[in-house]
Amino acid sequence: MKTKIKQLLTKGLLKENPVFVLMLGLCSVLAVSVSVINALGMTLAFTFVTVLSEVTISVLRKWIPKSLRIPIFIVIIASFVTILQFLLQAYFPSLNKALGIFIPLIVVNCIIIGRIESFASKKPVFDSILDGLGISLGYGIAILSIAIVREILGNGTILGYSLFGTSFEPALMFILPPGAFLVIGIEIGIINHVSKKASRKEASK
Amino acid sequence: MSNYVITASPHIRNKINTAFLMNMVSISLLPATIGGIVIFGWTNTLPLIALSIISAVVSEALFQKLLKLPMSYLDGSAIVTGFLLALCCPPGIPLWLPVIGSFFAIFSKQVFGGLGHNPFNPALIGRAFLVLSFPAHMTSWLKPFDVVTTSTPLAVFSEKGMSGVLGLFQGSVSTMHKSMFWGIRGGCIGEVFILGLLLGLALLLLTKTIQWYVPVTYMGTVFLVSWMLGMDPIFSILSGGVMFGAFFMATDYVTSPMLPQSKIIYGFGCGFINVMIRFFANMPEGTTFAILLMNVITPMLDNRIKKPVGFVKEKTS
Amino acid sequence: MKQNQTKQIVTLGITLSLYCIIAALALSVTYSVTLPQIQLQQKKATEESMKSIYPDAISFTLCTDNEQNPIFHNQVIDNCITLDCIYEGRDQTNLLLGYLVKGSSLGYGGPIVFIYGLDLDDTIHSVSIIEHSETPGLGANVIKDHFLNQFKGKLTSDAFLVKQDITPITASTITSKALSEGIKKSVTYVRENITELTNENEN
Repeated sequence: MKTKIKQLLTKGLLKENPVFVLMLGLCSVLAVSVSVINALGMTLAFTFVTVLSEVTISVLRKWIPKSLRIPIFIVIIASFVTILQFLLQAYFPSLNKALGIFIPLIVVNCIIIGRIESFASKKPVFDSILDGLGISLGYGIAILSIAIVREILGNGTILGYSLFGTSFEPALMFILPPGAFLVIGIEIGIINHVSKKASRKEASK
Repeated sequence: MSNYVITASPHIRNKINTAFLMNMVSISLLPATIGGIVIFGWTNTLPLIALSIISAVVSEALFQKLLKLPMSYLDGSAIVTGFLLALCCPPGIPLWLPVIGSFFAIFSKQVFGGLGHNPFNPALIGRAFLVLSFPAHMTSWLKPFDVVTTSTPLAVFSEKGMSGVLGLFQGSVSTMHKSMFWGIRGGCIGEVFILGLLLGLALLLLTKTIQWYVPVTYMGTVFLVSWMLGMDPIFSILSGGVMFGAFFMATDYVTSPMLPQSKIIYGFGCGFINVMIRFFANMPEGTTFAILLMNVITPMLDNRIKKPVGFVKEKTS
Repeated sequence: MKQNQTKQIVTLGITLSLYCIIAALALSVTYSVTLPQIQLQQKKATEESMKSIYPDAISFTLCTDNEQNPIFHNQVIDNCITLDCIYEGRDQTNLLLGYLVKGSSLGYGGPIVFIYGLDLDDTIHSVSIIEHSETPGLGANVIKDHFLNQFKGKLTSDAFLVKQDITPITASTITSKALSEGIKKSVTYVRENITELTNENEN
């Protein structure tokens, strides 16, 4: 049981990382990783929607007719996203402004619908919670690792605190769209390199 | 050239050949460089060029060491990259700019597998990186024979139109053409001295280092399209970095097509995008991005593509 | 066979409608709970920026015409410059300190929504940016004080021309132009049309 919990929670980190390995949901990752605070906000929003949708669908999985499953998934995800947006507008207006269009776009984030289709609609509730948390963790780590690099190099700050003093001139490109592609490309390259090395080692054993 | 096998990039070249060609490019850059040094003063230009070249060579050596590649950092290609990058920088910018620009240029080449595998012209990637990252520095120009800053004629054109440009040259069209031909205007180090650029082109053509297709179609397209859009076509080809780009950047072996007919399409594409950016985009000059965009479709232009770019055979070891 | 199919369609239809009804219910409950808070936040954002312009003012009232409609609402001045509304700022003694003009001007990345104070002696009190979507690091510097402070104390008759009496943000001429033109054109419009209003208040 314990190993199963651990396995569900950690598989999103590297082995099935939704961003770096499965390459899903890249649009929001590229656009929101401008600053660490935005990335954190997006991760929380994503976790909220993923976990709640997975739980709801796991509970209802016996009452969802097979031919209607996609529309019902979308209705459920969209409702949670809209609820989230109301809550953000009411209680976190600055975060809502920063994330802007990317909150409504969580609806069409293929990571969520992918997890629901392949996992939550077939598995019990507890497993689905863990799966949702694990996949959100992987998403969060990916978007944060990009955002940290971009904010440090592109703005000279981390979480808004200046790192290098006023004489440092940040390379603006990193907070512009090309910087997002550059950083994600390099990070995917490093991860592939490391995992290839690891699997080669395993094979030689 | 007829007994060479013609293929699209990526490809691997003979080292001696590379060194000869790269040295030819460096030599042909010299007249324009000397012009730039005289016009903007040696203190604003020489350290910049030297540091850019040194940084490019050191970065190349560093990457080759790190990636355990054969050490060929002195074959001239890194020198040309650093040299070209320095020449398309404004004079008098802080010296750390060309250093990191060169590093990034070499990085962009090595990340795709080194010389022969890079889809983009490294020097232009370095420049694009600098323009996007430090736009304030990369758009502050020195006035010729002076230490005050000024605008480039193209920047003036995009803001105030032709009358504003004429205002820079005592209102006379012939003075404008003459001053621009001799490089008496704000601009990048290597792009201003047109006579030097023409001498360099002649040298490249005479030694058969490059063929005429790309420079001629590129310049011709710029001339015709800007004339059709109502801009003084002579001003159009004399201003900005069009000539520098057409002669030295768009003719790069690795990133431009191989066949004559695809070279003509390539040259036309560069010229067309260049003028479109000048007229309709939020940038006064578009040479950098025009050539980089055409670099993207270079492999498609050669219809004798043997394998798609990026396809790597799995090593069996 | 046919009956079976119809039955299936009906069952599916009912199931889907049920899901939608439940979702709609959940949404409407959340909406009604959060609506007052959302409106409060929006009002707070505008009020905070007005307070930063006239710290002494305690009341801000929307200027309306005789039929209680806000004046100059969505008044298009130029292709890219729009007036939103005008507020009066008054202090404790109900003395009119000045007008607050809210409008927007099209920048490089989209509309720049600004609000500025217009003193009764025809000077700009100060400018603050409510919303913008300019490029980070370039046009986004429009919110920096060293740029906005240039407008402080400018006469409405000044030129407001970038590179003449306004130093632009480095490498962001379009943004700088958008804001200074937005202020100049909106203030000219307001000056031409507000005289009656001033008299009304004095009477």
